Amino acid sequence: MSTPAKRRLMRDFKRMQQDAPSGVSASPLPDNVMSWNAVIIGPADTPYEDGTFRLILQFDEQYPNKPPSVKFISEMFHPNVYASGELCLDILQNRWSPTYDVSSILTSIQSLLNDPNISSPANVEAANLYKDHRSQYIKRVRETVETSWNEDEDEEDED
Amino acid sequence: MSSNPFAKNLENVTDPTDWNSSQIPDLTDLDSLLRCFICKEFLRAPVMTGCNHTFCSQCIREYLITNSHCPLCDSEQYESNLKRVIQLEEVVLCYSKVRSTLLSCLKLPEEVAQKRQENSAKAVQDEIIEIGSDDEEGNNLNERSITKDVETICEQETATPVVEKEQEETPRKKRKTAIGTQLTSMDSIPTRDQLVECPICSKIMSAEILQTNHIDNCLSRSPSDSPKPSGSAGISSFFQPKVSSSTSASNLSSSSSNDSNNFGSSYKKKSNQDFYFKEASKHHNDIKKLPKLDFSSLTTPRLKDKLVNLKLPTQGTRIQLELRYNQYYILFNSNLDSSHPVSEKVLKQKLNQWELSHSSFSSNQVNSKNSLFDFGGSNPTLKNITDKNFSVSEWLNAYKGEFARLTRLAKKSMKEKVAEENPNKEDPALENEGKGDIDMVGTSGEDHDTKESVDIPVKENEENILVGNQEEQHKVITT
Repeated sequence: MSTPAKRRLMRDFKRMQQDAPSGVSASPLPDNVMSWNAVIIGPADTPYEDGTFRLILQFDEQYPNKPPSVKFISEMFHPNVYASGELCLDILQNRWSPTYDVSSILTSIQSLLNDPNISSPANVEAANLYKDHRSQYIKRVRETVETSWNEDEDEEDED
Repeated sequence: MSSNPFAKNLENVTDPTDWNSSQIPDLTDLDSLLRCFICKEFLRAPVMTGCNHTFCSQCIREYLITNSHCPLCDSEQYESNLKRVIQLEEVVLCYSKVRSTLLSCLKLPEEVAQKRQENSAKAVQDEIIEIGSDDEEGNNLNERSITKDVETICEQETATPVVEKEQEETPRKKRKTAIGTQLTSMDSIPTRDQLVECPICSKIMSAEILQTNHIDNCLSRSPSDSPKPSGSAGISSFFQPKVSSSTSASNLSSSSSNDSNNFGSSYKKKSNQDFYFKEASKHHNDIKKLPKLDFSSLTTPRLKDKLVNLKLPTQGTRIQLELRYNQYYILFNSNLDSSHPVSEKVLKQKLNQWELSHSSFSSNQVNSKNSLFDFGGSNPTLKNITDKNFSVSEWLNAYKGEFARLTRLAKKSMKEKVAEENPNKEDPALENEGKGDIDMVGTSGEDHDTKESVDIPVKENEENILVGNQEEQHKVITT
């Protein structure tokens, strides 16, 4: 049955297909338009450069009046990402606006990668390294970037 | 193309970017501005907030029932301040009525669109490969890509009208200029007709012939085949014009004339202009909006009385009763913001549909917090992602191929962006490899200028321009 949330998600899908922002992609599950898989490529000139980070987005019927649940399923080392992969991002919580869509959510997450919010860390270790030992922070991030490539290779082997 | 089954349905979904592949990509802007920023569909019963932002009445009312600020600018806003924008409603209806015809009329001939796409993709690849393979011959590079452009032009000269070829070698970003000049050249050189496909019979002909009499002929011959206004899906599903108004004895249908309920047919006969200028008396109705209820001071029997008065069902839990009233309140009041309202019967159908999809009504046990996410059912891969039992590795495994495809897409979009920002320049990843002596920032700036000059669609000048282009690029490289 078509509902406002599903219609909106079809629009978001069309937008992602016709005009995806640079370095991100997303698509609903073949059998459920309310759950999406997404990939964000780490932005150039950041420690996350060229990482291929996988995410899932889960919407409910109150979308776009309520934000989706978003979670990284690639290993992440970032001050605002919990060990579970869930994000601490204001626009996905109290600063959500129904004018956002899949494209703008992913763009925001992409820019969060290089611009963490240290004041409310989800990963204290990452936040401390980011503040005080930047080179170690970068090293840890590069490790996750390499892990994300390993996942790619696995996929390519089996394709 | 994507293998996703939802992709099939996307043809019926309109998007401002549809215009990107038309002869007038600037219409993308107009198309976006006629849409609601919440639902992204064409504005239905538009209303303006106190901060002068416009949304569909239903969208903003739904939002403001739990929030008290504008979704766009964040300023404090209340539902009571919303004001109808009658003229905009007619503008949007008018636009959505002509949109699909306009889109077909302004469609680029297929081979042109295809070539344009191929070229941009090829350009990205070729350049990366070329630069990657000859680091030392950087100076020859730009000459070579110009040669390639010339070849492209020659190839296309045979297939497509001369006027269009300037567009071909223009990257997407520059299309705006190319189109502008293309249109001017059409005015001055009428023999260079623009070939378009008739949206009805698919014959290829000049745009002039199509617009002056062919399309009318075609439409009158086969009215059933005529393209529906593409916006009609969104708009008419909202107004549901097909539901017979005669059966409903609501005060709405009696107070408004038949044609506003039977919106679809009145639509063809009457122009939106006439409605706006000559039927001003129909823009307002005397029906009062439903009041917002303060549930905390309302006993359940009193609440049920209110629902009975509105002829709404009274079964369900207290939470369901409150949700039902609020949703009907939104539907009813936003319907009053339209100059083409539907009957109460339609509103009640919409309320019923909403209840069927709403989590709080979905099961007998009302446990709204859990059921909110419970759309996975038995499928293990569709578990709530915030669930403790959610298995990341299981998920990654189930959607391995899908993630590989998404990764390729995301990487591709990144390369395209780079190519768009630096036409004729290489991937920034390769920037530092053997190219250290060239000031990349400076060159890309000048590059834009030279590109502009190539856009001049006068055939005789082409050689000069290309020579000039070559010289200038040479200069750029050696400075």
